[in-house]
Amino acid sequence: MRDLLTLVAKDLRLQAKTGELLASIFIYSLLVVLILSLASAPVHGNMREGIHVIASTLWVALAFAGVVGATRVIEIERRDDCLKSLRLAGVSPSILYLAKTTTNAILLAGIQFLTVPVTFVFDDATTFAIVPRLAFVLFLGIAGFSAVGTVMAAISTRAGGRESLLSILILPLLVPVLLGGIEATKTLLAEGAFLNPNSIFWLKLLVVYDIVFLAVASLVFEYLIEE
Amino acid sequence: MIHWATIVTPLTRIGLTVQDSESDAAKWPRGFGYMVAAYAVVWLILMAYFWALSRRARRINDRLDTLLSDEKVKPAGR
Amino acid sequence: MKALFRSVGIPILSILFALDIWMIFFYAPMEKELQASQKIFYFHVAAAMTAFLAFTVAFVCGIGWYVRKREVWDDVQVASVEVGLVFSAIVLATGPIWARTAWNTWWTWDPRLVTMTILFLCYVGYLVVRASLSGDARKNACAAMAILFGINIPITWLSIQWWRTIHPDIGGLPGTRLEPKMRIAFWFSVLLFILLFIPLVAIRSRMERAAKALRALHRERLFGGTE
Repeated sequence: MRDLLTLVAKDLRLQAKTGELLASIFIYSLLVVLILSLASAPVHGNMREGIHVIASTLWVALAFAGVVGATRVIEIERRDDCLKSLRLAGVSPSILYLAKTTTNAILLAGIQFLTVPVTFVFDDATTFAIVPRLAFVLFLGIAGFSAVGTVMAAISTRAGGRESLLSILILPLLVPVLLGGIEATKTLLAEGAFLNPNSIFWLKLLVVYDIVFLAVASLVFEYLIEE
Repeated sequence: MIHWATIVTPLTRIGLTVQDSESDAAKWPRGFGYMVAAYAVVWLILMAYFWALSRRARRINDRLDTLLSDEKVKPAGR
Repeated sequence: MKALFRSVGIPILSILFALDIWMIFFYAPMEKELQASQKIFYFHVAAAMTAFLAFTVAFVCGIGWYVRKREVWDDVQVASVEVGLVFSAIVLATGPIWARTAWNTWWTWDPRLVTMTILFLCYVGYLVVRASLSGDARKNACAAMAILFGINIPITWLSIQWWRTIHPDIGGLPGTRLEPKMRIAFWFSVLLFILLFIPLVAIRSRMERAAKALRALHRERLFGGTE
């Protein structure tokens, strides 16, 4: 546990020092939001369609940011054999995986913290009371994206590919998360709470998905960083 | 976009009902051409895979042959 | 074994396939609502079941590789992924043809269709990554992918019950609600596809083993037997 915190703190400090990663991903997701809002501008004014646009924009921005973020977080370690050094220092691979996933999730959460208000402004959302619940759904999505993103980035950086390779690996795998997240967000925006059984189901799916992938990925991660 | 309810109703009865009257069967069955196309596509996909498999096997064989014939010319090692 | 398959297996399989086509078109009765277009069901569903079987075999091989590192796990794994992709291609190709006659559209954004396509894309990604890696790194990465993608199999299988879908649900185990003659023709098709699947995987995995042996021989030649 202490190892985990140390590693996360180290990664975050590293990211904070340059700030380049956070800034570039933020601008990237900002552009995604802008383009998607622009593309769907004609449907604005229609309540139902508006909700649809906000929900999908939020999640597509998260998906793209997740792909870029995951690659960078792993790539930092690949360079100069840092993973090997960490392993030699006696850090267990599962802890290493969880640390990377946590860092990834914190970065994504930071990005979402900035992107969500922008989306609300661009797409003219009217309710702000739902924000805590929205944060909860997004948290589940972020957990899924970082869990899958980290392990797949370990594969794709190894294969010498970058974001393009990673996106073909994780986006199909994360479609259940995207679908569930978008559905839950839509009902949340429409009803202000998770009242109907449908959205409860989606939340359950997200939770189960996150737990399963975290568990399985932390087991296989060991073999992916072996030199 | 099709409304799902309009389609799902007949579909729930798939396999439960069998064409009974002879007069119906005499007509050209609906979608027959599509089915022939579908089975042709299945056949094409399978043949394409067989072809790819045999090509790969041949390539492995060829490379093995060149590797073995090299041995006769050059001694092993650098 | 290869010679045996060529001299006995191929003729037998061809005869059985001819028999199956006959059963589908002439033995099984004509369905009332869908008429001839229902005939695709026999191959479509059988191919889908075989594809799921293939990906499940790959999943088991992925676990097998981590438990006991024998080459055979890797060989059979790539073989069944590849053959599984062929069968999913059959599913995805025949699906729209049937949909055109029954739903009057080639493609709809129905969950069952989407999840099957996604499963297909996942394993295409698997082959892409596999092509760009080599050695132990490749085996480890591929086993990890086979396991992680394998988690998606039940999601695809169950998607029909989770989402509101227009894809026909055959009610639990496929074929249980069928008219008897249709059921015989259907299970015969399934059996036949599995009979086709087994030798294909055997041949493909032998080929993989031969390719590996060849590469080893080649390296030995290049580096003077140091490896």
